[in-house]
Amino acid sequence: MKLDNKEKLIWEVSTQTQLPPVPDKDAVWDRLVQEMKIDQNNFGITKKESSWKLWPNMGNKINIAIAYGLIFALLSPLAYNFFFTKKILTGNAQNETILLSDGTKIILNSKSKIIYGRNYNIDNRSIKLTGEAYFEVEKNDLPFTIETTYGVISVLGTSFNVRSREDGFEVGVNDGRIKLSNESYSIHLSKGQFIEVESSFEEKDIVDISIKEYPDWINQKFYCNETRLDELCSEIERTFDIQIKFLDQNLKNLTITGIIEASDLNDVLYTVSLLTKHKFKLEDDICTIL
Amino acid sequence: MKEIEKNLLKKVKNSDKTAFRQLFSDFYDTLFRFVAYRVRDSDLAEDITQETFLRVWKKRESLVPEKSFFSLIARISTNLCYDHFRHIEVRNRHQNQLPDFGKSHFDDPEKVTQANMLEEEIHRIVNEKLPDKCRSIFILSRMEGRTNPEIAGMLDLSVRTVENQIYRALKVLKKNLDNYL
Repeated sequence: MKLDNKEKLIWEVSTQTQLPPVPDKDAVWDRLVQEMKIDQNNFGITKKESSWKLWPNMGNKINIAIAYGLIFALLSPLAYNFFFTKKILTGNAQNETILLSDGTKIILNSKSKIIYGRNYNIDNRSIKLTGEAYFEVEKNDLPFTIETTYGVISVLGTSFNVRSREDGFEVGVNDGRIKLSNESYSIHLSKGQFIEVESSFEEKDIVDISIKEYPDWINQKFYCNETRLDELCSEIERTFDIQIKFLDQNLKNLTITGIIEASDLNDVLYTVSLLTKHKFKLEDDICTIL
Repeated sequence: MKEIEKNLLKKVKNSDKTAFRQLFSDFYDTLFRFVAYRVRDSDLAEDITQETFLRVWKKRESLVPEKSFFSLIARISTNLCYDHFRHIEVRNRHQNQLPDFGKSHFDDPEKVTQANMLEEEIHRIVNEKLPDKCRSIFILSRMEGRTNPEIAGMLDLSVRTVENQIYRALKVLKKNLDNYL
């Protein structure tokens, strides 16, 4: 190749870009192996579910065969785990702090459920979550995974909040990094990042956490940012185990922005009343917004 | 195309983890630096490099051992970089800010020498103006110091093509660097 002077200069100078040192390859490999395991775990779960769906379409003979198969399946280690799992539930107005054998701390918000196997921290660290919980995951060799109806979350060691309720899915990270996967996407959330979706999530849903003390419920506060009044009220119902009724159904569509102290029910209701400019009446467990 | 690489790929296709580790060891450094050149951030480069290898493993059954492995991982990682840039752009637009990735910026303009500025401009033009294949070849040549026959072997191309692509890169750079030369 014949180069003129300008090209020669470009040729020389283009090698001078400074690149960061290559990370420790063994450590990267260890992390990669963990991610590969998570991938295999998820694979197993989908397979199991699809076989359940096949059942109703089968003929009689096959049903008998499956019945025998089921008896054998019950004796298998997989079924053992399935039936010998631990379940922790909270009702309205209940929070529960769970300390797992690996040192991981889970604070379960009201009306929520987690399920995990007896072999937790022996050959896996997988749990299932319905509802909302705050996680402080201890780092160890086993990847920590959370299954929700919206997708799977996998982490190594970090603190974050997950809300997986009927009205939507929300995840915010206070420390470290986590990975979220659903059928179509796999995205990373870092410290200070947050997603809130109604159905499936993707990369573009990532935003920064806008509130100071996240998550609000751990700090006994309700953070509202153009939150619909009925959404806030169902949160109040769960937190204080009351029922809230609206005299005027149109009120449900009001949106509220602000921070509400959530330590005392009367204070909460008073604030809501101020914000909506509507009075309330509290009788036993039923609050009516007039 | 090297026989060893082909054999490793065949084994990985059959879920051989030891072979995958070997492939990882052989290609990690080059891919990390390749991605780091593109995204200019060490942590992000580490993530993207790891995700690239993870995707190879997930899709191992569809590997084609006869095809160049570096071309494959270069393509996967480049797409991941695009995803990242698109995401930043969306976020910045959301916050009504101008995107600032890939633009040259100096901590202390007084201390920046002419050569540094030229280097920075080359870096920016390689990232922004060169087509993917041309950029891969240019980076392998200039940053990794690979010879043209080596690059041809890695990417399963003819030496002639490699030479042409490098020449093309130099032309694009020269054209865009008019104010600096």
